[in-house]
Amino acid sequence: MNNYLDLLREFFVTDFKLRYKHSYLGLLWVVIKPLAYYAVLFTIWTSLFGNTVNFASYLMVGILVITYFSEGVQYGLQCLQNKRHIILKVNFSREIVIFSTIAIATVNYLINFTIYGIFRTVTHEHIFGTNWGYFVLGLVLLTELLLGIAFFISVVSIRLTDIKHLVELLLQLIFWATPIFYKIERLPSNIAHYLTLFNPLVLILDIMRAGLFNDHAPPSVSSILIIAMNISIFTILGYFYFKKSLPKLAEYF
Amino acid sequence: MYAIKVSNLSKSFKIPHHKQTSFVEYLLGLFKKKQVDTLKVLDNVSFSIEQGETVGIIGQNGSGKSTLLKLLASIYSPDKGEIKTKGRVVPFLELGVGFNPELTGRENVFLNGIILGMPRKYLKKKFDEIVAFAELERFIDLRLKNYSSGMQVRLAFSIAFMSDADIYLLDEVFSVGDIAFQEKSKKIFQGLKARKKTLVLVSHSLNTVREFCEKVFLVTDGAVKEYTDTTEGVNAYRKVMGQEPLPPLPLVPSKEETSVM
Repeated sequence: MNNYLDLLREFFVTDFKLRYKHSYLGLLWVVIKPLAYYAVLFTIWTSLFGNTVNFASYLMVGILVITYFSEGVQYGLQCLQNKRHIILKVNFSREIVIFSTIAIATVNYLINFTIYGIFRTVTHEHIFGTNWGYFVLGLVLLTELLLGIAFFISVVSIRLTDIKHLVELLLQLIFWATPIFYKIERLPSNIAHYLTLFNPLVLILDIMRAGLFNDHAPPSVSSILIIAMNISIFTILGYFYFKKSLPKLAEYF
Repeated sequence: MYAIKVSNLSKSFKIPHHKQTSFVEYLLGLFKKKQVDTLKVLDNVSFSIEQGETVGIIGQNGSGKSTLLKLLASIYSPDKGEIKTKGRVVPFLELGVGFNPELTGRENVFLNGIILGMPRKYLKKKFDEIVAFAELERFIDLRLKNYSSGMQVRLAFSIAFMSDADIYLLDEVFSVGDIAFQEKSKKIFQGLKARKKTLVLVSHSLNTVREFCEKVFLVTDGAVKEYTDTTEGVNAYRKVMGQEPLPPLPLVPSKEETSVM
């Protein structure tokens, strides 16, 4: 057990370090990239549409979430392949790879969110809304969902290389099927209904926004409970699928 | 008391004629008759290794030595049969697993050591010892890519043998470094043997096998033959390869015979 956490930390720290190893600015890139991105977005949005700081902020939350989601999915897709050389030589608890990989995506998100938070204070908003608990809840659900997805696709991608392209396609669809640039209420009600049903990000984003904007009403308790349950079941199934199929998979690498 | 007990172990690999890796190929494959060859690597193998024994596994390239070792290390799972091990197993199927050239020697000590199952605290305690054994004090904060290949394996070797296990699985990790280092590593092996550790080593160096092992396992055609007389085992292998037998041990064989393959 002692080594379990050590290994988790080691994978996390090493992978994080290596991403910026070759650059002059090093870890500063983690901050520069989102900073520049938001600066551009804010400038364009406020100068194009006048004084809509509020909507720019609303938009940003969505962009951050979808970035976290696609990064997590893409990292999850490749993570076993990337650790192939170790998996083939040492028998350690393989799920550590999944945990450390999703942890990297999560930390990226938290850094991005911190920078966004600075923007919020500059524009005289509070960093969190009064119901900030919703934000935390949404973040936990999203992370759990990513773990579940990673458990499945990391294994599938060993045998089926083409899943990479399928995932790319799906990520694009999900981007447009998630209310980032628009509000879900603007859609015809039946379409909105199906989107909410099939795209967990719709509700998750709704929950998170409720924790950040005081004028954003949270979804109903029952719908929150249902999605929390569904995601948990999905992730647990993913974990068992992962544990069950992985021992057989070493020889397919 | 056994350290490793293998009963009725079978392992085969499927070799598809055409590897399906895309969905279209998969769909097309549904309508074709599947052409899959199975390669039986190990067929109903049973043996046991006692605690404190040193066993050499020899055999031709592709005979299944490494597969056997990977099965013992639970990297592969058996098709049939059972493998029981007693105590902590540490596999050294390759030196320096997870080594990253962009990281410093110091960082790699922790990375590799932790991958091999050692806790960080333990490595911190043993760090100076590892570096001293590898003779890399001056270079430990250099990136690994600036090391010579000899330096890299020395470091890897030093980390690996700092781990405290009961069973060591070794795949060709002998003959690392220069002569002086080899002498040092021989002492390590003798130390492990003296401390009654169980060692299973795959090697093509027949002299190493004869020098260190009490038993020889010859892997041929899916079977594992056990020889308690190592010279006999080694010669059985040489016969399979169409080579002359080696003289009995006290006479040290000539140099070129160390590299049969």
